[in-house]
Amino acid sequence: MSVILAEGLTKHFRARSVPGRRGPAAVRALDGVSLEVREGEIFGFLGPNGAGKSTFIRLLLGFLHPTAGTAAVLGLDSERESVAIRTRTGYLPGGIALYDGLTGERHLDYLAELSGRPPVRRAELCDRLELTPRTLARPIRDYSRGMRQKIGIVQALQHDPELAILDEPSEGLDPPMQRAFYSILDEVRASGRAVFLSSHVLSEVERVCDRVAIVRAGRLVALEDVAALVARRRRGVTARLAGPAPDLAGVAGVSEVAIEGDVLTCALSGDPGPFLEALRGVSLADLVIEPGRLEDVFLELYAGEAAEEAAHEAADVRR
Amino acid sequence: MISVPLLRHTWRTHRVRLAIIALSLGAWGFLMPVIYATFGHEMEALLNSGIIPDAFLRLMGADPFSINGSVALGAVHPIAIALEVVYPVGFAAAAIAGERQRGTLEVLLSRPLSRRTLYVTLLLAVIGAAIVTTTATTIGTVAGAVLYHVAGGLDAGEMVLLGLNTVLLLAALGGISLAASASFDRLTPAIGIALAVTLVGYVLEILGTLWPDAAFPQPYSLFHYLRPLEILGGKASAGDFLVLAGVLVASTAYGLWRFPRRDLAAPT
Repeated sequence: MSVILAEGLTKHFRARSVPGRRGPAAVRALDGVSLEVREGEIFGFLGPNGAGKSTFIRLLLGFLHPTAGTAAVLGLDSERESVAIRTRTGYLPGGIALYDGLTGERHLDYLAELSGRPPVRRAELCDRLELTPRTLARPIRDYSRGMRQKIGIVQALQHDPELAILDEPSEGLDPPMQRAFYSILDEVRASGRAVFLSSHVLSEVERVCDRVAIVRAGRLVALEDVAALVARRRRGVTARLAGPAPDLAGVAGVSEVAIEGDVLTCALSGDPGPFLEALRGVSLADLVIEPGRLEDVFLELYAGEAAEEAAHEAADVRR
Repeated sequence: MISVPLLRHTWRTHRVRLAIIALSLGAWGFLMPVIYATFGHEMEALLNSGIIPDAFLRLMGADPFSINGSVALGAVHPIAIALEVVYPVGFAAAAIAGERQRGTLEVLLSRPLSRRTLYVTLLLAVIGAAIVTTTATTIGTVAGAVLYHVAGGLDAGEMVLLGLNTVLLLAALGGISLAASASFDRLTPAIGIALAVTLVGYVLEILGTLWPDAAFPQPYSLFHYLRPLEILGGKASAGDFLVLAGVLVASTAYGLWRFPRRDLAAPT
């Protein structure tokens, strides 16, 4: 079952003024995004600042009205049934703002009251994120950035929502707390709940997400399993030879072979098996195969889209 | 249609400020019959001597030193007005635009809370505050009148009508301020509109009272429909109440139409 189903979701904002042009122009914050998030998966939504990640989330929750397209969350229409959606979801806004005058505990109580659902997971989450009763008794104005973020995570998950929508969730968390948070996400997935996680921290997405969508300038440029996306990435190989060079011509997945002295370099994509088979019997002093990283995929995709975006922006100004 | 936790939170957050305003207005209300009882005859003689210009006498009403005139003067005095409007106008103007500017509105709206529910709940908080401050003034006035043995000149029914008239004025101002608050992402324009409506309205009313040639814009001021002297003199007009109620209904209808249709983009 789909927990999120977006079809051609588009949002244009009216800009107040565009230099050299009369009247308001449309800014395309999101342009025809279609995607599906399934039950029991952690879905990463990647893109740099201003790519349209928060706009997409706000459309899902009914904060924004779409210019075109539709979105359904847990089978409910995001425009007409946003209140029902928010009953069943947990949301962590990016850079969450809290009521400074309340204590952490009072804040969580207040938001739980507004949710109308008991905070069944609060104690456990606070324990895992090291929010002690003493900390929770202090006013939020005394909290550090990381502590505020922990309160944000707890308020989003304390009522055990069917879907958690988390915008930049690990921002401000120190490494041990990031690990604790990732293990919480793993458990959410194991329990069959879904998480929609927007981030620009690529290592985080690679670590926790099953599938990932990448947006650029409001448009979807990739939507795939994280593992498949990373496996497709060409990796650099460097081998220091201790004997004759192997013949790598025609080996599946190997390209850009170069030999300089006793150093062999090439690019490797897909299954490394044929490459390793070709090295059988070759005397090597050292062999380094770069790990495939989501960051490289991301940068490659962005480089490929740069020209298209420039054309897109030019079209916006003309319009 | 209302959110009890939100209403409770709003009241809890503002209870100290509201209590201070209510106590101040109670003291102000108390003072009016005390001044009348203590200095009434001397002041009346002074006013009748002709030393005070007619324009100021008109400002104070036709009967400034009867108990009714004294209470009526207290009700339209700038100090009382300033104390009374600070909460309905100040709070209402900041209620939505302020939360939006701080970024806390999206935490609220991430709960199962419709924008209309949020709006109606905040409007109720504003009207509730107007009732509290007006009741405090009335209690103060009655207490002063009883303690200084001038309560016989006050009519309970007329005092209730005056209270209703004041609450309607404050609710109308609060309604406009809340509608402005729901229309902007930042506090400054919302506060600006709310203050402009209040201050310009008050100045127009005072100016028209002092200077008959400037009386023509008075009907455009909401303060024109606050009529303590007429009400306490037994000449209350339903039209005054209806105008204020109409402004409250119209501003609320606008806010309830506008707020849910707005796009709430990410705070910048």
